[in-house]
Amino acid sequence: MEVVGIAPACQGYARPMNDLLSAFNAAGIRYLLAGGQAMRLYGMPRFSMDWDFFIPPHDEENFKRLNALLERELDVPLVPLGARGENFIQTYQTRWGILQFHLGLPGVPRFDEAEEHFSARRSAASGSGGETHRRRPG
Amino acid sequence: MKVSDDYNAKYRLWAANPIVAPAGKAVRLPDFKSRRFASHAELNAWKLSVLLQLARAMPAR
Repeated sequence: MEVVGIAPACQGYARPMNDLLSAFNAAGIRYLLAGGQAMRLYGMPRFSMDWDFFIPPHDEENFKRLNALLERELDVPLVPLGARGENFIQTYQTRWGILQFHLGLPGVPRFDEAEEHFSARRSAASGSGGETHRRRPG
Repeated sequence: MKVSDDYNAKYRLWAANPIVAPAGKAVRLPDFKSRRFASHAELNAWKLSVLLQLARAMPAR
């Protein structure tokens, strides 16, 4: 996969993904939207058939929340990154389309750093210095 | 001479005039079971096989 765009959880999604992303935010799930859909939100339309989510690879609580939220859609649960890189990408077909969860992205810093970067950007953009939708693990 | 896209030029054009297009409708591909991959190379190989399968299943026009 070519990673050319990455965007924080933000407003402006078209339905029907809006409901899912709102549910992610309400549940305090840590994620970043990446790939073609992120580029679209930045005004750079690019053909994409799936939704790429970058999630922290070892945050057990985050996996628990995601699996609870998506319980009816996932035939097997999302699992953390294995010791030898197993489960690096997990792909599901759902009523919202194809969801791909990436536990790492080539050329992108590890999740915590990327999350920090976008939280800081959002705070700077909003001028509030506050709201970030972030939840620190444990 | 090989002609290829100038990505930097594309990005400059996009950045100067960003347009947020609505998301397309979800594509319902033939059902497939969830998959786990250890690398993007594995993912891309699988994607290619699915696309080939879809192309073969498409009626010729």
